[in-house]
Parts: sequence; structure tokens; C-alpha cells
Amino acid sequence: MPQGVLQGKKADQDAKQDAPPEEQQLLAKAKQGDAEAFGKLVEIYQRRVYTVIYRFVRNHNDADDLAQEAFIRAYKAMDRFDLRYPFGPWMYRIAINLTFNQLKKRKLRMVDADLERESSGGNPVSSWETDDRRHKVHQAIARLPFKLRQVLVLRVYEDWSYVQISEVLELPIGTVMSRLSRARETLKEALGDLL
Amino acid sequence: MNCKEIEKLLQLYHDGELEPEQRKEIECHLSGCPACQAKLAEFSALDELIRDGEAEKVPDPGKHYWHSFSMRLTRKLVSRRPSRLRIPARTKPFRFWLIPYLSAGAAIILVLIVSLPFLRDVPTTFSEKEVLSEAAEMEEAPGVTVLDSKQAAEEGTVGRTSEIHFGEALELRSVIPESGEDKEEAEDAVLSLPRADTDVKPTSGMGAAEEGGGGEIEAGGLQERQAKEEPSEAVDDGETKGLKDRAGFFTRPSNTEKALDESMRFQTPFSPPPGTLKVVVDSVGKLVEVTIKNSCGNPQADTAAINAYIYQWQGQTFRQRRAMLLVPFEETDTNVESND
Repeated sequence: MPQGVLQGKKADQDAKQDAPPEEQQLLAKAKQGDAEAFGKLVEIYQRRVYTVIYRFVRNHNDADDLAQEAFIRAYKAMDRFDLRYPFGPWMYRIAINLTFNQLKKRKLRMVDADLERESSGGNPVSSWETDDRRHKVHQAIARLPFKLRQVLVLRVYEDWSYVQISEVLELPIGTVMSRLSRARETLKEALGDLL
Repeated sequence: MNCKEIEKLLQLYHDGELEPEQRKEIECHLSGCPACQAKLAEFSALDELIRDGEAEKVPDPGKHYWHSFSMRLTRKLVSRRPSRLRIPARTKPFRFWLIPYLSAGAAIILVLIVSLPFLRDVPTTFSEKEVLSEAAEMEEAPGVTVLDSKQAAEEGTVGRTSEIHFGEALELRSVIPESGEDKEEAEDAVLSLPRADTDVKPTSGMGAAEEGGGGEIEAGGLQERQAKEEPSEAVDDGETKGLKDRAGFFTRPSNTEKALDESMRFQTPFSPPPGTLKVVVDSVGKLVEVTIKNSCGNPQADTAAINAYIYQWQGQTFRQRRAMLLVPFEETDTNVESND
């Protein structure tokens, strides 16, 4: 696999790029134990963290609990945060690792049950369910093996680089690429008529 | 690059993971290859489909939820604060900085254990019961007389003290009042005397003054004077040395041995008549006063005997002191006799 052609340097530079000045100040204060500054960081990132967690657990209560727990863990670990790096990827790493660990404990039953409920006509209020096209996409993604789905979600929805994904999931970049490739191939087969 | 090679790189190109040079090569190939363009379009279409299908899936919990999110978080942090501070015992790191202190503590304890027997053998005070018991045993020793309070009063010795005399052979008199007026008088008398063993200094007692043989002698000048006045061969006399060995002198501290040696050297050449030391011991076995009661005729020998007695007294138990009182002067007399 052509790993040598990856934009490793670019990804690394992206990772080290400076956060907005206001966020930098909040990070510096939060690192010193300023709870108010950390609260403002929470307000900035709460939607994104909740969303990425929701994409894996697919229900509000679990997404809420895990998002809260992720921020609590981040607050506890703030003294170890490196200010040279942006807060977002670090926060996502905490949230995703926490979510994956929870899903492993539940043996992915949460997603499967959610998928079965949706397939059997549950959650009628949701607008997307009326859209057959979106429903098929959702089903195809939900049926992906978990290892493939987590790479696909982070790449396609969160627009993370391969380097960031490999760091968060603690996988070699080659494994990230191969899993992403397999996920796309599987979805192409499942959603071929929609392409 | 051909289509097969390009196909392997299309996903990387689509995800923006290629270096600029490779991107240019791909774009150069794509511009002239409709098949590869179609494959690249599949990547874009699939991602668009995924995003379109999933983006709407995440519901918005509403403004109220987002407004209360950080408040609920703060509440959880506060409620968990005590548990955050609690550190399980098994996760406590070993305190390496304690090692020197623990080592020093262990060394001190070891030294104390090793030195305990020595410390125990050198008490500073003794109980009155012990003194009485020892005094009773002394009576059985040759040349020792223990007097009770009544006899002591007849002898003119008043006070809660033991009076020890060294006579021609050895005379020990112990006076220990038990109660009543004698006791009170004794307490007053003791208070007027120096108390600590180490504070005791040789003094010229009344008897010595009367007989003109006493007087204080500085310890520092003693050796110089004795070197001038006495013949050196008498110092290391073989018989004297043998007597010292039998008396167990060499088991005593070096300063004691030295002082005793001085005592014998002064007495030997002049063949002085036996003298008498007056030793006053209080009711707890502390040495209070040492004076010359009956001079041997040589002031230097008298003073050396006082010094020797004090040196021996220090660092000894009461029982050892009693033995110490008996041995050297007995043998000094023997030595004098043999020299005669």
C-alpha cells in the first residue's frame, strides 16, 4: 500500500496548527484549573462531541451520558493537555475511546437493537425515516462491521485525516486505509442502486 | 502511471492524503482517462450519499438541552470531587524520598540495640533499696563495717549518706538513716553537697587538713611532678603489674587505669603508711565527696588516690563500685608490704 505517498507531514502540521486565540486563552486557563474557562470550552465543543458519540450509539440518553462523561474525563486530564495541539482532536479522542469501550462492553447490541427498532417501524417521529433513500443508507452503515464503521464515520462525517484516525484508534495508517477501503466497497455493493 | 496504479491511489487522492507531486500525476492521468474519472466520481458520490443519509439522522436535543449541558456537567464534577481526591492505596506510588530517612532510623535503632547492654550497665542513680541491699552485703566483706543510723550518730556522722573509710587494710562504713529527724537532717546535708557523679572533685578533707597531708592537686601538673620525683623503674614494677592484672585493672577505662597507676607509683617509692579516704555516698549511690581522712604521709599519693577513686567510680554500676573500693587499696597495701 502506498503509505509513503501519504501527507504525513501535512497531517502532522494540521494537528499542530494553532487554535483560535480565544480558544488558546481558554485552554491555558483551563489547564491551570479554571473551571469557568473549561465550561466555555464545553459550550464550544458540546454539540460536536455529542454528535460524534450519537453516530455510534444512536440514542439520545446514551449519547448524553457519554458526552457528559467524556467532558468530565477531559477536565480531569486537562493538566496533561499539550497546549501546542488543538483541543478538538484531543477531546474527540477521549469521547470516541469512551464510546468504543462502552460499545465493546455491550457487544454492539445497542446499535443492533436500534437498527431492528428502526427497521420495524420504530421512532416514527423522525423525519429521515420517511425518506427511503436515507433509510437504506443508514441501514447499510449500521450493518457494517464495527471496525469498518468506526473508520468510515470518522473519515466521512468528521473529515479526519488518516493520521488522526490512526492516533485515536491506535491503528497503523495502513490498517486505517484498508478498513476504509473495505467499508466503501461494502457500501457500494449495498447502495449500488442509489449511486 | 497506468490505470491499475492510479486505481490504487484514487481513494487517497479523494481523501486528500497525497503529496502535491502525486496529486499532480493523478490529475494528469485523470485528465485523459474517463474510466479513472468515473471511479473517482464513485468515491465522491458515495461519500455524499453517506453524509446526506446520516447528517439528518442526528437529532437536535434543543436549546434547553444545550443550555443545561454545562450546568449538569458542573454538578457532576462537584458531586464527584471527593472521589477524585481519594487515591486507592494500591495506586499510591512508593515514596522513594523516605529511603534515606528510613535508613537513618534503622541505623539509629540498630545502634541503640547494640549499645543497650552498655547503657544498662552505667546507671546514673540507684534506688535506696539497692543501696541498702549492697550495704548489707558489704558488711560481709573483709575490712568493711556497715553502721546503722544509731551507730552513725554515735560516730558523729550525720546525714543520709554512706561514709566509706579506707584504713590500714580497708574500712568501709555505711551510714544510712531510715526515718525521723535523722532523715530530715540527712536530706539537708545532701542538698548542701554536690550531687552528680561527674561534678565530684577531690577535696582536702578535714582529716587531711588536720594531719597536714592534704590539699588539692591539679590533674594536669601531676604527671610532670611525678616524673621528677619518682624513679621510673618503680613505675613498671613487675610485681605491681601482676597485682594490677589480678585486680582486673586492664578491663577498666584507660583513664581509670592511668589514675590508679599514678596512685600506686606515688605510694611505692616512698613506702608511705596506709592512708584513709573518706568517701561520702548519698542514699541513691551517688558519689558526693572524696577526701583524705588519714594521710599516708605523701600529699601527692593521697591526691592521686582520690583521683583514682573518682575515675574508677565513673562509669561503674553500684556493685562494680563496691568491688572497686575493695580491690585497689588492698593490693596497694600488699604492694607496699612487698616493697618493704
